[in-house]
Amino acid sequence: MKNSLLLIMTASIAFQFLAAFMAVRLISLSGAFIAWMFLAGGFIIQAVRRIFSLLNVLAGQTQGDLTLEVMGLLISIFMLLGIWKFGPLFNEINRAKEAMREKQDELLEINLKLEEEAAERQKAEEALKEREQMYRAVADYSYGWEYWIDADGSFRYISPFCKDVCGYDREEFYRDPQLLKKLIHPDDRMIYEQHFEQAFACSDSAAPIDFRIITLDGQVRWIGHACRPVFDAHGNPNGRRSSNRDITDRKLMEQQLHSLNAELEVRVTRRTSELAKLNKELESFCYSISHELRAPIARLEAFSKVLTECLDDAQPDELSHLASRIGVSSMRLRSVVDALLQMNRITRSELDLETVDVSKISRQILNELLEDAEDRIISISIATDLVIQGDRSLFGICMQNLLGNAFKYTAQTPYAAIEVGESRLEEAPVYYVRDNGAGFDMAFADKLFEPFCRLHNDSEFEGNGIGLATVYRIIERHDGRIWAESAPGKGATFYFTIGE
Amino acid sequence: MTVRLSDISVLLIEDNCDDEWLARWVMKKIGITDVTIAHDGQEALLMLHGDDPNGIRKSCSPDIIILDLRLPKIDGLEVLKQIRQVDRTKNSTVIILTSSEDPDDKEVCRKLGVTAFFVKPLSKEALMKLNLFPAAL
Repeated sequence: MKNSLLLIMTASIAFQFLAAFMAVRLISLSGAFIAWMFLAGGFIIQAVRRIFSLLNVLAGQTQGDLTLEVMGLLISIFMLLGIWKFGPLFNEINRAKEAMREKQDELLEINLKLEEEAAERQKAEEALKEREQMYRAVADYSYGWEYWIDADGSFRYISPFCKDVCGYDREEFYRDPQLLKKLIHPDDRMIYEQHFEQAFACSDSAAPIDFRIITLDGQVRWIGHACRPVFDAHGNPNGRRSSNRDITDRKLMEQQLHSLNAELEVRVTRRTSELAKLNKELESFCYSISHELRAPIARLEAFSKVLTECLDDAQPDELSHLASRIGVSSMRLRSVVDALLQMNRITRSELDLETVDVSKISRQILNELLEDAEDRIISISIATDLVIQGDRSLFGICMQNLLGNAFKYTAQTPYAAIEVGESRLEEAPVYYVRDNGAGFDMAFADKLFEPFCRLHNDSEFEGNGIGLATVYRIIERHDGRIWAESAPGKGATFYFTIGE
Repeated sequence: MTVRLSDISVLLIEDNCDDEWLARWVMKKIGITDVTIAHDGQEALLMLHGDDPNGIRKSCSPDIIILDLRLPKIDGLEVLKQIRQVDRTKNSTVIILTSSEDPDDKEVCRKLGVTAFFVKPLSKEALMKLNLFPAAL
């Protein structure tokens, strides 16, 4: 009996110490150091108290009560089991705690990610906004009438500058897709419509076109139009992007340039033909001079040869004829040279314009001519107060030639008559010198004023063929015209104007 | 068959009386005396191609035509062209006698077939050198 009691008591003590040990061990699991230390201390004090009871039993001082000791053992066992069971509990709690912490970490991570995403989205939104702003600035502030148009003519976008060009607000274009077609000049509408159809049919960059529009305030302006297709992300056609530029100034300049060019062309053609005419005249003049100078020289040469050959058996009258003809040839040579010099002077000298009394000059010239030919009887009629603005000296030469011709060509006319007068041609004064002399065939009228041209041979009327050429140049220098009317044997009338 | 120069008839187309006198003088020296004168191109063509409408001259058929190039009314080159265009005269012997030796004129005359192109004054040596009457010789 005592042995059982001792065994129970020893087991109780062992359990008490075990419980204390386990309580201390639980500190590492659950913390709560002081609580567990107090509990462990309680268990140890309990065990020490049982040891004292055991020692008392062993010393025989007490008998010990088996029931109480069994109950004590049971308490120790329960306490140990209780402590024992705390371990798994705390383990469980710790595990739950751990799981919770892990869950918390996970949540934190997700949260962080969400925050990052939100920031990114905001950044993207800002970038989008900025880009939108940029595109709008590029489009809305473009210095041109820019638009994006659909195949049905409706506008996806139209830049506000359209108002500067055509006077209509862009809202009006959005409202009425046909507005653009309506304001194109009726003559150019076909060009635009063909271009529009072609452009949408071929989905390609159609060739640019120019057309006119009528602006809101009724002005006609030129537009340079160019467009290209727009494709969406999948490469499908998505309307056309077009630019309308105001090219009115350029067109006006082109038109001016064109008309200037045309004018220049006309002027060049005219100058060229004038120059060609002058060249031809000069050529024919040189040709004539060469003949007119050589002819008297050849004559002189020939006469000298004749003289040499017939010196031995020459008759005095023959010699006298030769001598007189040599004189005539020399004079002819001199007269040609003088005439050329005079013509050169007429062409080059400055005009000294003054009021010239044609009536008076004509009278003087005819008087002088009559003085040299006393046997001539001529009926003379000179209109009074014929006055022109011209160069007195040149005009004197002109009248000298005209009246000299009239005098010469009436030499064989029985009742010679010379008339100087004035008539009207389209209100402008036309002066004339008329005679009833030999006249000429109008078939040769175009040659009449050519230098050295002669319509009569020397046996009929002598002359060097330079008189009318001189007259022509003098009238030409006075900005006038000269022409003649005549028929063989019916006299001739020379008309001229001054300062046309 | 001998042809005497005195049998040769000449039409001298010359407007200047001195040149006419000088040409006649040279021709006389070599024995040509049958010389008719035309004073301008129109008169010459009338004489060669038709009767003078005034009935003064009948048309003539000279053996040799001596032609000045510078003539009143119708000039020498035009006269030569018309001589060559008309059957009656297209084979006539034509001698040009001019004051100036213009190369263009010379070329036109060569194309129109002239026997000689003389620059005034006419010399009897030059005239003598020509085979003046080939058709009859």
